[in-house]
Amino acid sequence: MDMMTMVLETTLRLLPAILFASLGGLITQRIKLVNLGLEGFMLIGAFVAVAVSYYTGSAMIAVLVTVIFCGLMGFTFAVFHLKFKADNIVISVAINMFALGITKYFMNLLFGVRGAFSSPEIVGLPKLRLAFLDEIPILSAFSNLSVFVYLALFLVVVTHVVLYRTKIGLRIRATGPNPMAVETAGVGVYRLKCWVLTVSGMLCGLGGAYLSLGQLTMFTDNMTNGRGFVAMAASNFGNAAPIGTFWGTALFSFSDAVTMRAQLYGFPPQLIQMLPYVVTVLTLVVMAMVKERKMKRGINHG
Amino acid sequence: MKKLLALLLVVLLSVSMFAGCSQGESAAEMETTKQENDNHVKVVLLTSAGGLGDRSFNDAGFAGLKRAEEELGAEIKVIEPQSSADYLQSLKTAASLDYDFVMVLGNDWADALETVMPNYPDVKFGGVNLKTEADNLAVAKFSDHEGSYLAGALAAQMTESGTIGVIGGMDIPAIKRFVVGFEEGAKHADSDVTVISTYVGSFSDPNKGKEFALQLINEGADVIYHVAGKTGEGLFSAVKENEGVYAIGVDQDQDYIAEGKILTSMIKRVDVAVYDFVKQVKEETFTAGVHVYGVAEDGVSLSEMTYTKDIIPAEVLENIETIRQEIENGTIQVTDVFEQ
Repeated sequence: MDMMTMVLETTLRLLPAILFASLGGLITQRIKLVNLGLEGFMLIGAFVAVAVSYYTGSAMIAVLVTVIFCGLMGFTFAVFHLKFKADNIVISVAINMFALGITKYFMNLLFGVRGAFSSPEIVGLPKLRLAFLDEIPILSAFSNLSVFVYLALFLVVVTHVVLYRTKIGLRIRATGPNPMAVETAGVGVYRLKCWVLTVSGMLCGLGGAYLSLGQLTMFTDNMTNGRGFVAMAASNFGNAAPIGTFWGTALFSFSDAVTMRAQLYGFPPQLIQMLPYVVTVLTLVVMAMVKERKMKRGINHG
Repeated sequence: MKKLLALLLVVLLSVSMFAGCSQGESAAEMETTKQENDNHVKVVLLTSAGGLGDRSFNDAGFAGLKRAEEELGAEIKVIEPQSSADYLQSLKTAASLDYDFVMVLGNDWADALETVMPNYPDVKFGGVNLKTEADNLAVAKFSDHEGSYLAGALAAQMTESGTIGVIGGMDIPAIKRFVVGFEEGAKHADSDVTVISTYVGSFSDPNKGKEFALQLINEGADVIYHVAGKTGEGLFSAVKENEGVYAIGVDQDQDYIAEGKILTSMIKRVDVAVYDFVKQVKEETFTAGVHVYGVAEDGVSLSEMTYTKDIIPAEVLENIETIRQEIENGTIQVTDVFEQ
């Protein structure tokens, strides 16, 4: 396989986990709510997926249960935040720490192992084999990818359509800047927010399931490794728009893939590993400059 | 309601912070056991931030501790710090427990030890691969470079493509030591072999570990050594899915994780060091300073190769044994990054 194809393939394999989570972050950002708990939701999702897959031997059921479970967690977040008026940052931090601890605990309780759990009985997510692409340069990167890669891309489109082309989308978009207006229009903002947080949890669950069942069939402590926060950054980068967020995650995954590749050619790793961060800072600066210029021209955006 | 909830969260958070260090009995119980048995040695083991379950050196250290419990009747306790930021606090707690011996695993304990040790001159401390020196500190210095040299020599003789790879957790001296040893061993066995070394930047990211492994395989590497803790699990997953490529494990005998696909593991007998130290404390022969655990002392070695004996040609095994003896008697000097 040539270099470009390999980098593209790596990018595509790294993409889904953060893409799912960043969609989850994006929709809560739309209702003016910073959900830093993405990381925790993902980690719990990854664990539930592995555990259910192990017991039932079915990746389908595993994904289904994970989505429901993480949806419930998102709902819990909503209850704490909306009903009990707890600060969303505090809840997020609590969820992240809770996720770290509880997954460790249950791994020991259910499987009697610590640190890492793998077993041949865990069934991974299916891959989509497109043999006819094998011979085509560049596109051959798509020939053997997990179905979740396509699901993630599909969900970007779905989120875009729902946000900009449906009534619910309009309400979600309006809730952020002006919840009173939405309320006045006779829409239950409270219920809407509950739903958004639930869906956010579900999306993170999918991201987690991809981490533990997509590429690998195992769970290790803290296997999300900050991907939730990267997802958060990506949705900020994309200005809470699905397409922009997609490009954000693509950029992060791509620079990660380049980082790996460059090391093979003897570039010093310390220098290379800075790349994703440098790219992030640079793009944020450029984005800010573009935004400012638009503001100056008097075009009101977003 | 809000206040109550806030209070609840605070309690939950503070409980979860101590969750890592809450094993063992209460202080009162410890008091009684102490009076009952005077000749009984009490040991507390602090793992590195990776914690138990790494199927690597923390687990190995714990195995040595368990052996000390069974054979020497030591009273044991384990503390698992959540991150290196907790090291100082964990060590202070451990030292103040009135235990005879405090053992720390991992090579990033130097700062915490230097702060805490002077305050507890009566407590004996033990560590692994540390540069710190003190009158009450014994350091087991494992010759990771020598063991890796053997692994490299094996890899170079087993490769068919002429390219082999290493996946390191981070580009730090403690990991470089393995990588340099591996490269030298490979070049010694076959000067034409190409060694590609990469660093993931994390010890707990198996997904990235697998990506790195796939990149190396794509680049033609067919024997890949990992020095990356749980990140290395990704390598095992990658070799299982690809024909004709092999992995080499590290620290503990990891051969069983992917039977037949892991050529060998570079075993570091942390368990032996922990056991030896506890024994010395018990028998009052404890000596501070550096204790070398190299190839000559059986501190580092290759695994038994339970699942791969049949695929490795006999002359390769003989050659490895010759190299082992040459390291032992000093004919071969392996570069130690720590000494530079």
